[in-house]
Amino acid sequence: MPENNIPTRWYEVSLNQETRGSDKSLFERGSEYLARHQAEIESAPPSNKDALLSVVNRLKADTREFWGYVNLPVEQTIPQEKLAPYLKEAEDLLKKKILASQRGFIMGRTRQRYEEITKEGNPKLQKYLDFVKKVYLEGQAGPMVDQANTTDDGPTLTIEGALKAIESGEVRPLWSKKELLEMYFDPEENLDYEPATGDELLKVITQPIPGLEDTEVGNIAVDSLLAQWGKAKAAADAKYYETHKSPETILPASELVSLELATEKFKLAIIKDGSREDDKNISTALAELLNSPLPQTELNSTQQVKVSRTEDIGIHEVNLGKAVTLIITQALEQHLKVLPLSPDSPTKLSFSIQLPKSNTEESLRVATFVINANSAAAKPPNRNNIVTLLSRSSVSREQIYLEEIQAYLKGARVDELTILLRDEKKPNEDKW
Amino acid sequence: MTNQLNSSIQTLAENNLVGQQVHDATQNKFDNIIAQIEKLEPGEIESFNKLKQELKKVSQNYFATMQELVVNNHHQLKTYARK
Repeated sequence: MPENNIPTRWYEVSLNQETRGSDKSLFERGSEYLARHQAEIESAPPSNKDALLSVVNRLKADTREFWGYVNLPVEQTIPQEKLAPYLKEAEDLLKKKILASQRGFIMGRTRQRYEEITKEGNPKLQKYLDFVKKVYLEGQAGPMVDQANTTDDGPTLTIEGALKAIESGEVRPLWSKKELLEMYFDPEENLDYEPATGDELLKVITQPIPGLEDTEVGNIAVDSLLAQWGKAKAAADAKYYETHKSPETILPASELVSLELATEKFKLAIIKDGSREDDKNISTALAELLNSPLPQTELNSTQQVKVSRTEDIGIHEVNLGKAVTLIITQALEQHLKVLPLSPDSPTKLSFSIQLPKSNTEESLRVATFVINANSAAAKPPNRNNIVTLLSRSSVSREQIYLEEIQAYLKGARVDELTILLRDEKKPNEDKW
Repeated sequence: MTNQLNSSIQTLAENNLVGQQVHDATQNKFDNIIAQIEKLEPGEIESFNKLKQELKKVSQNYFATMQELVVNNHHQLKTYARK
């Protein structure tokens, strides 16, 4: 069909409202409504409240009906045949971008973990990590485990050999079999070894797509995809908040980017400990921690929410990072509705978590999260945006937190957590 | 051509936004008028007539704006159809 026939046909249908059972133009229809309304208002008997209320309700219904005719969503304005190729192109590009970024994130973290764990001297883990390093970071996978083909670093390992080793329990994976396979067989080989943070991932997703950034249709296509992505994310977030039951439901691995670090730590703890029993203990302890009610406090511009906890960090040191992250989001969940967030005020919110005196002389400021309430582009700040931003902007800082808490508080008892919520016009980076 | 097309789409999108705002505001005005009518006491003829005039004005403004949008949408769609 010639391109210019599509909009012509569509435009005639829209103008005449054939699909809505009328052949009158909208302009005429508006004039008819108006004339009828004026007559009805005029003829309403004096002091008859019910009659006038009835007229107003009819006016309301009529204007709603008329708006239904006038309203032409852009998605309907552009013939799908015309939009589809752009959507497809945008979707493909977006998928590639997200994939590349996620891949960079995973690879960066894997390399980082490799370097950290190498120093710990766990032979089984070391063997696995050597494999990870060879296969995933250096791309040295051979067809099979080949004892004859040894190098200075030992025999060449293969994905099959590694998976067998994992399945037999000889080594325990940081990543699931599925994740390993996805990583290995991913056709995108453009590995970025630099760790990608949640912020970077967000930037990748929201940046203009080359070739489409200057076209309105392209932007609509991207907006549409982002809306879909946002919707899926919102649904995942909603599920996440509804089900604080177990680590598995708390952390659907692919959902909240910032929590991947905690997930990773969690897996690492199991590997380090070597006991699956601990898995259950940690789950139970974490579930108990998360199910404890937070105090109901209304927040003004500056206020403290104190969360009392008595947990043995020595046992659950790794999980505390995850728990604290969730406590923050729970606190936000409870208090965001009273936070003074609007496009006009405040532009920055900072969140500090403090662990008061325990085995250190001074209170330890573990981490401060700075959120730019306006950084969600044109979107007005709302609960989901803020929680999402918190998760994303906290990735690198959560890392610092996790490192610090292990260094400072091993074996200590935490009696109280203080979450400070304050709004600031400018972030005070000096706190770091 | 492409610029023209994009401009038409952009205008249609903006018209929709304006229309939605006007529509929402009008619904609010109707609700306010309903609240005022409900508070009227018997014999308040002047207030009653004042509300009637206000209603007429709200309805006039609503349809005037919407008809403008209809005409403009029509123009944009014709431009789009000619492409």
